[in-house]
Amino acid sequence: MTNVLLIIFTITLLYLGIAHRLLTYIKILAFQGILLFGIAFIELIEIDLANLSFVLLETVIFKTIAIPLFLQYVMKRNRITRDAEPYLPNFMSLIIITLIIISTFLLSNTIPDARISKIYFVVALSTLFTGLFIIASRNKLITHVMGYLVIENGVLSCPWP
Amino acid sequence: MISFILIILMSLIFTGIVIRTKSITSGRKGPGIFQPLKDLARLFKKGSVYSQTTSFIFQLAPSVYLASILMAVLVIPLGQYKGILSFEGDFVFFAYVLGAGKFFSILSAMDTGSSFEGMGASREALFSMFAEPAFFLLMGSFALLTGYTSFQQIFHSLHFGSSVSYVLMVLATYVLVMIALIENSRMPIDDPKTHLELTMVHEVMVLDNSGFDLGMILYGTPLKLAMYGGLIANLFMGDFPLVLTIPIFLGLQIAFAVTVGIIESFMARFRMNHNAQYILTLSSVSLLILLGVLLILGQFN
Repeated sequence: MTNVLLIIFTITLLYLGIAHRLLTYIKILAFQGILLFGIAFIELIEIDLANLSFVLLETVIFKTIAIPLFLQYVMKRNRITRDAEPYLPNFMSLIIITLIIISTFLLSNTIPDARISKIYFVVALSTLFTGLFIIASRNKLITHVMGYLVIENGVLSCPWP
Repeated sequence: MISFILIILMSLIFTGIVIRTKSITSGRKGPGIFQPLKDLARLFKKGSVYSQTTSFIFQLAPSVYLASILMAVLVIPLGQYKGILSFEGDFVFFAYVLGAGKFFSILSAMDTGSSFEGMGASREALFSMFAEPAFFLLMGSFALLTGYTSFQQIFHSLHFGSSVSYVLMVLATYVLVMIALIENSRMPIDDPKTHLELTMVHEVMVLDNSGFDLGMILYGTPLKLAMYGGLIANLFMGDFPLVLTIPIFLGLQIAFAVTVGIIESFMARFRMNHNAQYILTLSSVSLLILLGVLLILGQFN
């Protein structure tokens, strides 16, 4: 089941590559929060109140509700226009994100460590690089913040196994 | 053999169902299901007019186009029952025989010497080119998963095992539906009802065709849609007996036609310069299907 969520998580990265509007970015970030909650919930070793409330707070409350609302507030308050203004055309972004996924996949095959769960490794590392790519290729400051949040999601999806 | 007959039967009412769905969703009375068929019959009774700038290629192309689609329909199986043609690697044959038909229709558009038609031909070639890697990655993944390379064997041995395979089926259905819409120049990519030559993709290529030739080209669209519908239906059949496969096949075809109608009613068309990136997304999604297949095979966990 976690594999399914991880595949959907990777699809959201591709969607980030072709999204035009800042509102779409915010929606994708919120959706990634829900996916992360699903992954964390399934991978929890023992479900007790402390664990569950921490995971719920970290993923659903912060990532899905608080941060998107705050970003929307910032956009309205500063009258930021709705376009993401990438330096590169979205077509190139999509190709680069696909290449990132392929190269992390190839990289995961060269590491002979049995302790690494490969699918988590691929998803986490490609999310991390996608976030870096979004920071590097978009013009606005608020998109850099969003890229940083994507990196954060990647880091969060890594240590679960 | 059965699949060939079913696809031909379905192609006769496919556009009718699409048009009927569109008229119901927009609250109009609309034409009947057999209206496109009557239009085709009217065109088939007419003769053709040829421009003096065109050569024999222009007269040859519509027949080659229709023949290529009929050839491609021959390899579509029905669950565990083979199509009329079935051999190792027939999905490559399927893709390239369609490619040959498209090549001839592009040549005939260039043959007319009209700048509009050349523009449409260029767009159609670009969009099909972007859709092709998605199809090959998808079928290649299935070939890897099942260990076979012909449509009938691949679809026969596809089984829903783990939760990942359900996701793969959903993604594969999405990719195939989008490829069908791109190859037929339907709504999110191209609007078949547009009246401005500058924004057309497929329609502008056939502006010079008339009468019988136009009939052949127009009949190609429902035939191709029903063919892709058959391919999608095959994903869900496995090794069911004939009593079950025929209703599943017809039901999924009708569902596909209604889906196309609903997409055409409620979706706006993509901007022309954004089309390429949306089509390339299909290749990326197919790549994820490949990674999912590797996951199921245990190559990667």
